[in-house]
Order: sequence, then structure tokens, then C-alpha cells
Amino acid sequence: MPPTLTLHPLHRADGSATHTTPLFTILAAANGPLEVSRRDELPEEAAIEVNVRPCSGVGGPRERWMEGVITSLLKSLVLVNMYPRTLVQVTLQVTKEPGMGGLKRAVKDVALLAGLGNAAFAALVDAGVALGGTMVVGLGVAREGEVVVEPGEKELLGCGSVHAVAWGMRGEMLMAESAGRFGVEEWEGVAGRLRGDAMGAIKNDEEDGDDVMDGEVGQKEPWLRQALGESVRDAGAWRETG
Amino acid sequence: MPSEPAPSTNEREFILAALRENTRLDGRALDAYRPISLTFGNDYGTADVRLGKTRVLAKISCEVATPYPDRKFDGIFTITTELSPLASPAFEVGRQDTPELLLSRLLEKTIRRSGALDTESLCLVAGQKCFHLRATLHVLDADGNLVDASCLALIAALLHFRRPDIEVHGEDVTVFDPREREPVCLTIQHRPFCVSFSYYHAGEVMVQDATLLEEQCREGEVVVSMNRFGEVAQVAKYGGPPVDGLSVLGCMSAALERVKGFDKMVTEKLKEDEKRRDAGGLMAELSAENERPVEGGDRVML
Repeated sequence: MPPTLTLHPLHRADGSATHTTPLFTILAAANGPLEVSRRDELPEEAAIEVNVRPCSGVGGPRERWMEGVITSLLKSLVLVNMYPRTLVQVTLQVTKEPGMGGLKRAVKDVALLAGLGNAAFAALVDAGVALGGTMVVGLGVAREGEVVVEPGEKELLGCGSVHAVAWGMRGEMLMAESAGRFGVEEWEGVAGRLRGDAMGAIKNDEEDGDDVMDGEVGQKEPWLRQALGESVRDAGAWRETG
Repeated sequence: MPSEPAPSTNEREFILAALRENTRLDGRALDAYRPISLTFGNDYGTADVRLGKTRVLAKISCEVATPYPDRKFDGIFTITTELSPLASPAFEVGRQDTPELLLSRLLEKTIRRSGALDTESLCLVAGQKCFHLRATLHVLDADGNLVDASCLALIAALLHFRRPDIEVHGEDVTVFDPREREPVCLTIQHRPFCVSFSYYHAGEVMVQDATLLEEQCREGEVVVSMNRFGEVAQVAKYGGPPVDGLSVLGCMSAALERVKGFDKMVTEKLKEDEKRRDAGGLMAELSAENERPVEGGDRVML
């Protein structure tokens, strides 16, 4: 089942998105460009601030680590040079997490990263912040040589390793985080599969996508392209009626 | 960080002039609330309240912890309210400013200090083990009247929450997984709700459920917390012009009506949710509680 993406659920934030997978539901809000505090101001580019807020309680070192990972991911995506001396602020609120116990924190964190990345990207698109391209963060688990993408709670519980890999629209890798025990070959298998899925999520239906998709398994419906395309159509609806 | 933009002079004058003629921008009566929606999540202890454009999500979680040494027979109950940039870019992360402080203080007074939750029932082994109940409020959209929406969400979430069932043998405590034994409700002794009133024109005009714009133009506010029996948990008035005593009494009776409405709504929604969960009528089988004779019910056969 592909993830579901709802754009602009919130009223006050510049851009917002809800990203739902069988594991997590994440509500993301992006504000920007904003006035930046003196301390964080960068003379030639926009500063990016990411806040991860857990489901219950207040954030700790794990959330700070995730913020760091997402910040560097977004830095490679947002055209920071277009907004010098400003701030792009992304807030990521986890609203639902798997309730089952026995899940290792490291595994859960990597699984969460995939959702956080996708939600943050969708919120930035909704906020109209200039981006260098599209990206998809895929989540896959390896278990005795077998690869499962978009795992549910059960797959996550019994997995050997879990991998979150972000792919850009040109097939470049933007982020790779893993947890568990795995070898290079296993990792390559998962990453390749996730790349195919990512390309599938943003592929253009009208074009013949054969050049990208050749020899790659796991072609999926272009859920991200559909969600973003719909929002663009809705935004431009006034042109047609007027 | 940008601060909330203040309404322009024209806007402010317009709102105040309209209020003098008993008219509000959105056409509501002065004592009317915006449409309220209350939904529960799939997990126990999640309540999402929408009050017009204001949206608050309350989440309850619990874990086993050590009680405070000076309160050996009580469990721990904490309320976390942190306003984030989700609600408005004006809220800064990690800095507690006035609206946040007031919100958490009011909730503390209304729910914790009024003894709405029986913390003694959260104790497992005196002085050693207790449940730590954590209520987290996520303000997702701030368009005025955060206090009422948050309080409603919190009470609804507390009533919806189920803690894991336990068994105590001497000093051994077994906490059962939800799959082993059906979780149990919390002991809620009464349900206080907050109702806030905004004052304009030196206390002459009183408005319920102010939007953000109306809040920015107001002169003073009175927040009343009470339960449906009219028992007042707290009354707060932070600054502003002096308000006539009779008008505060008017607030009380208006709040009582409002609270009765809230209470009814929460009860109905809880019932609906229970019906939704109880698809095959299995809930009665799962419960480990002893059956209690219902007064006037047909189970009493003596």
C-alpha cells in the first residue's frame, strides 16, 4: 500500500502535509522564508531549522539526531541561495506511532526517518519554498536475504536490518540511514529496490519511463506525483473557471 | 522569529464598533461557540478537538515509574503543553512565552488541582511503583480560545484512555499486555471544563469563544472552570479593566450552561466510539471486571 499524503491540513502554517504509512502518521508544517535570529543568520543562504516533536512527552537526544539528519537532507534540496539571511522552518509532529512493544529504538528511529523526510518534503512543496527537485525517502527491511519495502509492524519486528534511503529525481542518493546487522550486498539490494520504487513514485505517466525503469524491480504507482499533481491542479482551478 | 502581526487600526476599530452593536465578524451571537468537533483516534487516549479553525490534539500515555518520595501513595500525572510553530510561526521552539505559560497553568489548576483524576488509583506498590500518566497536548492550529479547546481535548482523552491491567501479589506487580488482558479505564472523579470570556469596552461587552483576531483586540478575559454540577474549579482574570461582580456571576451561569453542553457532547462521542470498537459485541467478554448490580436494572434479582 503506498503512503497517503494530504496537503495543507493546517490553516496557520505556510505549508503543511500529513503523511500516513502503516507505521507512522506525521504532520509536517513548513514556514519560510522567515526572519532569522542573529545567531543563526547565514550571509549567503537560508538557514534551515527542523524540529521533531514526539508523539508524547518532550523531545530528547534521539529527536535532536533526527533533526540533524533531516536538516542535512533538506539542505541538499532547498535552493538555500535564493533566500539569503532568512530561515526556513520545518516542524514535524508525530501523531501516531506503532503501539506494539518490543521494537528496538534504533529500528524505530530509522523507520521514522523515512516518514519524516517525506512529510517535510511535502510541507515544503506546499509552502512554495523553491526546491531543487523532487525526492522520495524509501523504507525497506532485509530479512534473511529477502527485501520488504514499506514494512508494517510485523515485518519491522522480525527484521535483520532496516534502511531508509532518500533518492532525488535524477536518481541521486541524498540520505542513507540504516540499523541492524547487514552486509554490503544486502544493503545494495535494498537500496536498489528502493531506488526503483522512488523512481516509480515520481515517474511521469504520460512519458514512457522505460529508460529509467529498465531492469529495476518494484515499479509502483506514482503516488507522490499524483498527490503533488492534484494539489497543483487545485491551486490553478481558478484560472479555468475565471 | 516573527511575532504575531497585530491587527491594523482600521481592523481593530471595525471589530470594536461592530461589537458595540452586538455583531461579530463571523455573524455569531456574542455567546455562541464556533462548531466543535471531537474525534477519537484508533489508539486509546487520543482526542482531536476542532473549534472552528483551532485544532488541538491530546494524547495520553502511561508507563511504570517510581512515585515521588513525599507522595508515596499517589501516581504521577503530568500535563505537557508545548506550543510549536505548527500552530503559528509566532510560537518559538523551546521558549516558554506567556500564552503557553497561561495555558499550562490553567490546565494544571482545572484538571490536576481540582482532583479530576484520582492519582491514588495509579499507585501500584506504595513508595515503590506507580503509573506515570503523561498527557501531551499538541496545539496544531491556533485561532483563538486555545484554553477551552485544550481542556476539552484533555478531558476527552483522559476519559478515552485505558491503562494496562495489573495484578499485585505482595510486592510483585504484573503489568498485562493489551493482548493478554483488556486495558481498564482511569478513575475520573469529575469532568471540569474551561469556558473563557473576553471583555470589550471596559467590561460592557462580553464575548464567548473569541477568535484570534478578537483576542488581539480584547481588553480582558475571565476564564471559569467548572463541572456540570456547577462546582467551580477555578476562576481566573488576568489584568484588564475591573469587571462588575454581577457580570462575573453572569459568567458563571453562562459557563454552567456551556459546560453541560460539553459534558453531554463528550459522553455521546465516547458512546459512539465504544460502539464502533465493540463491533461483534465482544467487549463484555473481554472485561475482567466483576459485574456490578445496576440500580433499577433487571440484573438485580433479590
